[in-house]
This record gives sequence, structure tokens and C-alpha cells, in this order.
Amino acid sequence: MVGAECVDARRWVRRSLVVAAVVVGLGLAVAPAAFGMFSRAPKGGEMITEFRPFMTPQKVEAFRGYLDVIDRAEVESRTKLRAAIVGSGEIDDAGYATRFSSVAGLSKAWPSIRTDMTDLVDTIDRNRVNYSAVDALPPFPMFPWFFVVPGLMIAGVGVASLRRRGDSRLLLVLAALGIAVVLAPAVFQMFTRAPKGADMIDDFRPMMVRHRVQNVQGYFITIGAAEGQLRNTVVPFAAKLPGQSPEAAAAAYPAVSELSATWRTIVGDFAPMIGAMSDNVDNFAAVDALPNFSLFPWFFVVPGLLVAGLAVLARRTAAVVLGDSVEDTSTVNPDEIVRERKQP
Amino acid sequence: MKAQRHQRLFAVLAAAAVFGTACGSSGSSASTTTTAAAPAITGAQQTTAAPTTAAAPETTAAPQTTAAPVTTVAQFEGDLTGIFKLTAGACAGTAVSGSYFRMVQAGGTADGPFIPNTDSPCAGDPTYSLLAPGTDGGLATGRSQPAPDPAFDASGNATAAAIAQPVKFFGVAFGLATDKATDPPALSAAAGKLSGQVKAWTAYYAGAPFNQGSPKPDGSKPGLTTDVTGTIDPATGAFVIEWSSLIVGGSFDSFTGIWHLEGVFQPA
Repeated sequence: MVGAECVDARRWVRRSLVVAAVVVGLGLAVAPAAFGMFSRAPKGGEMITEFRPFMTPQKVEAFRGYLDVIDRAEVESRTKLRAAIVGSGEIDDAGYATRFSSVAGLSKAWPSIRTDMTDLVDTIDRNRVNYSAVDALPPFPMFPWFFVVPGLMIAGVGVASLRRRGDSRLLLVLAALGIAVVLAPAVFQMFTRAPKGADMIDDFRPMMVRHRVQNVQGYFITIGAAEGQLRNTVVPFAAKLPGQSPEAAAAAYPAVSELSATWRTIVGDFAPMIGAMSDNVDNFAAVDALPNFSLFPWFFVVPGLLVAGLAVLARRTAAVVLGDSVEDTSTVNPDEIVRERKQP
Repeated sequence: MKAQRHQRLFAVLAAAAVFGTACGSSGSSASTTTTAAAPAITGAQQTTAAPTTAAAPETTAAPQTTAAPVTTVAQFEGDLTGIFKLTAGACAGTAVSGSYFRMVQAGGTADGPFIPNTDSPCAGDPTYSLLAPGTDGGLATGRSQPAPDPAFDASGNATAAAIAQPVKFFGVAFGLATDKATDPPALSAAAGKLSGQVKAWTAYYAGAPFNQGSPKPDGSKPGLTTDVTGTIDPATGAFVIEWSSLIVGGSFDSFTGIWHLEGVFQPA
């Protein structure tokens, strides 16, 4: 025998549990707006897409190779070519630096350029696995909808349940929705992939700022100007020295020749990489402004568990109100039964 | 005696005819263009020079050639639809003439610092990259001159060559085009002053297009982007056009291109 007051109290509890589930659902639905995900997530997707060509082992090896080519040419131009020209007496060392200022400029700047560019390539290389993990996640522009859709479904089912006075079938659906939300991160392997995304964001942060990108733009100008001057001016100058010829000069300075022969390929790879970095500084900032990637699985698990738990509790409360087994109440509106029981 | 006079007269006439023909096909792009353009001139541009010049090779050439000074002065006024044929850039020491391009480093001003292009033939000042007329002779107004597809060859050099011949810049050639996606260039003249837009002006370099128009396709003029300004000789169509355009995005983001075009306008 259940007292009328007790029934009312339990009904209130049941309704409160369902209302709480509705609130969680609505919270899930509005979370993307609160985090600015509708604008930020697509930018993240754009960044992932534009970085894709550079996040391969082949490209990383190519960039390491280019740095080696430039390094060899710089060393050779500084130690052999410059020495030969100055040693010929045609021009003194200060004159060399003035006349071939771009080449001299590269020699001066190359140690720091090499260090910075090597760090850049290392960062890319180090994050290839992290990048692959993030790239394997569902498309970024869909992210907000992974919150909105289940959130609205939970809220909708919860409201329907309230309107139907705690229909136990709807409470079952509500619990199932909660469990589905809990399982979603596991299905998408977010527990392993999201932390890798967080690591990548942390690692890229020093690289993806405007001044760093402008530094890299400057490296391109410095290296390109030196290469052009070596090819167009310095080596031809050396070729005119006594006992030299264009063929002999090319043979005498193989590393410089290699740089000139490879330069178009270097430009073809280097320029798009700078472009991708430059074009994604803002996109990176947008992604970086999102909550830490490691937290994302829990943004599903916690509300999902809450909803599932609240739905189960509400259903059990409904069963207690009816004084029956849970299974027996699945097709019955408990309020109607209560009204019947209250009748004399 | 009379026969000799006739022979001398004929010789003089023949020499004049040859001279007139030679002048008509001289290397002077200005005179060539102006003469060739005459038949197509419309509206305010009126001349009677073209028919007489065309008749020059005939035996009555000499009197017709002398008709040139009475030609009505051509008026290059209003909307100018045709081709702004480029005069090739050239340098002598640090002095540069003709058409050229310079690039301002990110954070610079219209006065520089400029990027040195070590592939420039201007040893005195390699910040000038010289432009030479392309297959169309120059910049067309009223229509687009899009880049071919593919826009780059196997070596990474741009293939767009209608406006200007591809220019080597840091070892790789850039090409110029006015893309169809944007309004075609439109320029007009008023009392010898040129104004208008070249929104679609695009440089293709290192695998990517860089809009270098003014204003930008969306109508904005960011950074050092300036209006298209210039002059045109109302009589000859000789023009000078200048503008600068910020590079937005890509490997040269925040750099600015400065464009200086010289040549002679040829109406469509």
C-alpha cells in the first residue's frame, strides 16, 4: 500500500529526475555554442586538411634533405668558393661580402636558420602520429553536431516523457540515449586520439604564431636570394678566374651546383609549406581556443552517464510509485494508476 | 630632259613610298600601335590617318604620307577597352624604364625595404623585376586573360604568358593573369588621367595564385594596397599605370607587390 502523499513525493522526484536529464541534454546541445565550436571547429578542419600534404614521412625526409643540400652549399660557398675568389686577388674579403651580399648574408644567418628550420621539421615529424590520430577523427565541422543532435534528442525524449507522465518506454529510450552518448567517444576512439590532438596542439603552439611564420618567410628570401646570387653571379665570377671555366667551376663546387639544380624543387615544396603555415595561424588559434582536446571524450561520457543514470532512477521511481515491477509498468501511465488507486 | 625629270620624280616618289612603308613598320611600338589602332578607334577617338597610311605602298604614297600631320588628334578618353600594350622593362645602371614589378617586405612601406630578385637582369638594383609583353602584348581591359590549365609546368614555372612573359623570381618564373572569377580589368581616362580597377590581376608563383589586384576582389584595399593611378597621352595612347597590392595569404602573406606598367594603349 502506497500513501497518496508518498506517491506525490515520488512522482515529484521522478519528474525532477527527468527534468534534470532534459537540462543535461539541453546543456549538451548548447555546449558547442558556448565553446564557439560552430566557428572554430571548421577552422580546425581546414587546418587539418591544409597540413595533410606536409605530415607524411616522405615530405619530412624531403625537407631534411633540402636543409642538408642548403647546408652543404653554404659550407662550400663559404669555405671553398669565397676562398678561391678572394685568394685570386680579384676581390678582397670585404669586397666579396659587399659585392655578394646575399651569399654573405646567408652565411651569417644560416646557423640560426638551420636550427629553427630543423626544429620546425622535427616538430612536424614528431607530430605525424598525433596528426594521423586527429585526422582519423570525424570531420571537424561535424563536431558541434555530435553535441547538438544527441543533446536535443535527450531533451526531446525527456520532455515527451514528462508530457506522458513518465512513460517508462520513453525513460528506457532516454537511458539508451545516455548510454549511446557514453559509448560515442569509445566508438570514435577519442580516448586515444583526443589526447594526441592535445599533444599536437601543444607542440605546434610555438610554431603557429605570426612572427614565427614571418621568420620562415624571411628564411625563404634569404636562402633564395643567396641561391640566385650564387647561380647568376658568384659561380660565373669564379668561372672567369684564371684557369677556370664554367664547366670547371661547376665541377669545383658540386654542392653549390646541387643547390641550384634542386632549388626549383625546394621552392615548389618550401613555398606551399610556408603558405600552409601562414594561412593557418588564425585557424590554429581558433582550435587552440577550444577546450583541451583531452577533455573532449569526457564531454560525452559525463553527460551521457548522467542522463542514463537519471533515466534509470526515474524509471525505478515510477515502478515504486506503482508498487509493481519495472517491466510491468512499461506500457502504463503511472499517473492514471495512481488516480485509480486514490478512488474510494 | 622631260623623261629624266619624270624618272627623277618617280625615283623621289618611290623613295618616299619606301620611306613611308618603312616608317609604318618600324620598331617603335608607340607609332606602330597608334597607327594600327586607328581604324578601331570609336567615340571620341577620331583620326583620318589610318586609311592614308594603309595606302602608302601604292604609287600615290608620298602625298598620302604627307597627310599625316593633318590627322585629327586622337582622344583617349572615357572607358578604354582594348589592350594596354606593355613596353618591356629595361635597366641602365640603377635607372629603370618600362614595365616592372617590385616586392615590399612584410612590415615595410611603399618606400621599401624591397625584396632583391637575384634573377633580375638589373644588376644595379635587383629589386626591380622587369616585365616584357606577353602573347597578347599586355593587359586587356573588358575581358579576362586567365591562366592556362595547368598553370605551372613540370619545373614549377608559371605558364600564364598572355599579359607578360613569365618572369624569373628566386629561380622560378611567375606568370600574370586576370582570372575569370573576378571582374575583368576596367580602366578609363579623363583629361589624361587613368583610373579604374584591376581586381583580377593575379600572379602565379610556386604552385599558387596570389591576387595582386587593386582593389581586392571583395573591393577592399588592405595594407599598402593603393588605387590604380596613371596617365595616358590623349594623342598617342602612351600610358603609365601604377598600383600596389598587399599579398593576403600564402607563402608571401603580408608582402606587397608594386606594379608599374608602361606602354601604349591599343583600343579593341
